Amino acid sequence: MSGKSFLRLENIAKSFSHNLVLKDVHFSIEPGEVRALLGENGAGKSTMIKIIAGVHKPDSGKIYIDEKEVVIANPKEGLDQGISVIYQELDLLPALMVVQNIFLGIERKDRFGMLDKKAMERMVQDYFDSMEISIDLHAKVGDLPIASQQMVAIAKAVEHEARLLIMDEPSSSLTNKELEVLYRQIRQLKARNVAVIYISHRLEEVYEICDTVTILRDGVMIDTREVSKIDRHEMVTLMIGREINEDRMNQRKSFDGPVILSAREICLGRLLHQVSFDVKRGEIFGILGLVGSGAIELGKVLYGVLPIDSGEITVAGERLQMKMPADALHQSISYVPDERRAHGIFPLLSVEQNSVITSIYQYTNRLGFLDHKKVSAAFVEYVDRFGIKIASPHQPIQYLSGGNQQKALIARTLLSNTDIIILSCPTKGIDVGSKFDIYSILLDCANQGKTIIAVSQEITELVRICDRILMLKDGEVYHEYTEDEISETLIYHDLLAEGREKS
Amino acid sequence: MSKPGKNAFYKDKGFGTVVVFILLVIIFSIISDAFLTVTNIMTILLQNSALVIMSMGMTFVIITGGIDLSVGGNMALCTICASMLIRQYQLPIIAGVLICLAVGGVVGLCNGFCVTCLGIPPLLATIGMDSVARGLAYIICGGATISNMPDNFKLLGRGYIFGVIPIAAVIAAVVVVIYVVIQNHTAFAVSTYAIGGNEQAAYLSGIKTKSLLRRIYVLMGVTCGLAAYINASRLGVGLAAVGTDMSFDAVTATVLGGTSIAGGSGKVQRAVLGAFIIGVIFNGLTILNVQSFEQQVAKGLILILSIGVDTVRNRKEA
Repeated sequence: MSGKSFLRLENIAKSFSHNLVLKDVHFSIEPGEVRALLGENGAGKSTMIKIIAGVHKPDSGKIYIDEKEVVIANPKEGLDQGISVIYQELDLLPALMVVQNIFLGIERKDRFGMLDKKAMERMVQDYFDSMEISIDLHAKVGDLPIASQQMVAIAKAVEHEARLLIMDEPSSSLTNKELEVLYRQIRQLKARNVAVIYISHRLEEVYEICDTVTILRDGVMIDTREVSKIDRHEMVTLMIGREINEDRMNQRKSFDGPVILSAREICLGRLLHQVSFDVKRGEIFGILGLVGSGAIELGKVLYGVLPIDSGEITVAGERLQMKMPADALHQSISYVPDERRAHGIFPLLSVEQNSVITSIYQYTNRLGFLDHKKVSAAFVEYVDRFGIKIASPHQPIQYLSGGNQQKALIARTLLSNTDIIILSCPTKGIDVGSKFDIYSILLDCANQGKTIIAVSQEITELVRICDRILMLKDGEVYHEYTEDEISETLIYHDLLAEGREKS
Repeated sequence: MSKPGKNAFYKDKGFGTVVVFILLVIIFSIISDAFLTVTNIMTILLQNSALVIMSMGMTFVIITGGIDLSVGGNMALCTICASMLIRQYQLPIIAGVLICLAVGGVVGLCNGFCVTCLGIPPLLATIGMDSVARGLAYIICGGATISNMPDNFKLLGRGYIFGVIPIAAVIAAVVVVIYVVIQNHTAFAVSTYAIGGNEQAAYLSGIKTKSLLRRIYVLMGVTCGLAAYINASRLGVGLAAVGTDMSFDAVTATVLGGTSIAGGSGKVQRAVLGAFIIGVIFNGLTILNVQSFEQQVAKGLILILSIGVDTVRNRKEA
């Protein structure tokens, strides 16, 4: 592996509102190289690929393509430079057919200037045949399963003559057979001298398909090695970091209490299969799982957002019938969503209104009018308790930092005074300081008798605060960790292990 | 818009409207002596009472991110139902008003049903309902004008308090006050802003979004019923052709008042100003003997301009 690099990053740094996400990153990849990019959630992988793709601008540093310095101002320019990205949310046009998607923007024309449909179809069919893919060229992309859509996305990159293809967790929703097709597609790209950056949490895939591996941790490029010269254990150690900080903030060695919520054999389409567990009153219960494991969906099921196909959920012995979140609230369950911007905040409303919205009917008098004094008193209590930094309670929430927005959302659930609080990715996209504030808040709530269910992809945070952790893999319960098993190293090894059964 | 103070940017929105209004008043008073007289001011108040009332309900609908273009047809249906029943049974004023409110509310409920249960976009649902309601109005009256109305029918639309202040204007003022109180002091209003700002988040916050939207369309319908009565009372007869421009005017008034067509923000009191800007322009142009065809052009331009300003403003915020 020596020769000219296709892409080289030098001293790249990037921060989002005082939150340093990438520090001094050096990276280079050669044509025909398949590089694994590893790191825990929040290590900066997605920020890095977005900088390469032109979605984000780096704060400092230089990007070279073919050893020439370039500025990639937007994704279009990235494409023009030969950089294609396949995100987890594929950016194909669902209403268009397979062929139309693949040739979007580079349509072949015949000598009359009309679309040369036959030529395009032949090219795609040849490619599909060589990959042993059977997808109807005239199917609407939106009607295809995710795995097929992904194959189409790769075919698109091939026809667009991409020189670097970045794949963000392409395997998270694939079956083994589909994975074989993916490998075949990657090998063919490699043969065409295309560079590939492959992001995955599954180490066996790294060993199967990648030449080299780069490990990121906390926004720092830790090391780049040849895959054949590094073993699994070393990889994991590099990813989590040296002395693993297993300082638990939760001081309870074990916790017991009456069962408050119990789920039995929950099934939901292909997402969840026969999931059962009990949550005890006053504990912090973690639900751990990567994208595609069903963890996020399980959180939504417990809040009545997703209706289940079969199984039952009981709270304090009573079977729940939930059609919508309002019903869950009625059963004393509240929820903090993972997509803060899309599903959490009301950007134009004030911080105060954002915080009291769920409990708003507690502050009305007999005539139905709001008691503004009562509202501000209730809100101010949490501003002080959580240390929410605001200029005024009437400031629109959109101008606050992610951490402060999240605190306001947690205040929203506490103001609605439910026994059970579900948090989906409780510290997603917020700075380290606020993360610790939120952990303390959650521990505080548990000590006061609230039951907390934290859904997360981050092992570190669950290990810090949880009494028990339930790990989901491919929609099924993998293992429930209690007491001494709550160890970051142990759980991380299990997370990366193959198979659905804990050995 | 980097980091505005707590209300700076809302103040900006209202400020422009006030300036436009004052400028218009100054311009017309300079051009015509007849403009700034007590009689003419009262005429403007009377002429715009129905529009002011209508734009109150419209503001709430637009805050949710929706729109109601059925208010013209709804007015016609309310007018015909009420005037025929009033003439037939010589009903008192209050009964006539209640009929209008009820019919308007039912049409509003139909809108709400189409939008929430069938998931039809508000624009299309209400355009459809506009045609349905007006068609029904024509069918019921057979295309005829409902005349020979009892004298008390004309009281709310043509009567004056102390011989100077139009009763209709007083009613409009009361409606505005009620709406301002609802807007500033109820959980209902906070939830309305929440739906418009982020419907998904509203749903996840436990707001029964569908039921709330239905109530807002019903409220719009009821408000429309009141406007219909006042309008009919001013005309003195029941006509199925009333309110053809009403949807247009009410939306224009609301957007002129700074309520964003994208939803999530807006204030009812500003829509009053928006309604009077429209009112003043037409009153002024009429005094200046500008033909109604030219007025039509002016009206369209105002709507395009005000929505244009709104769109540019939204883009800047983003």
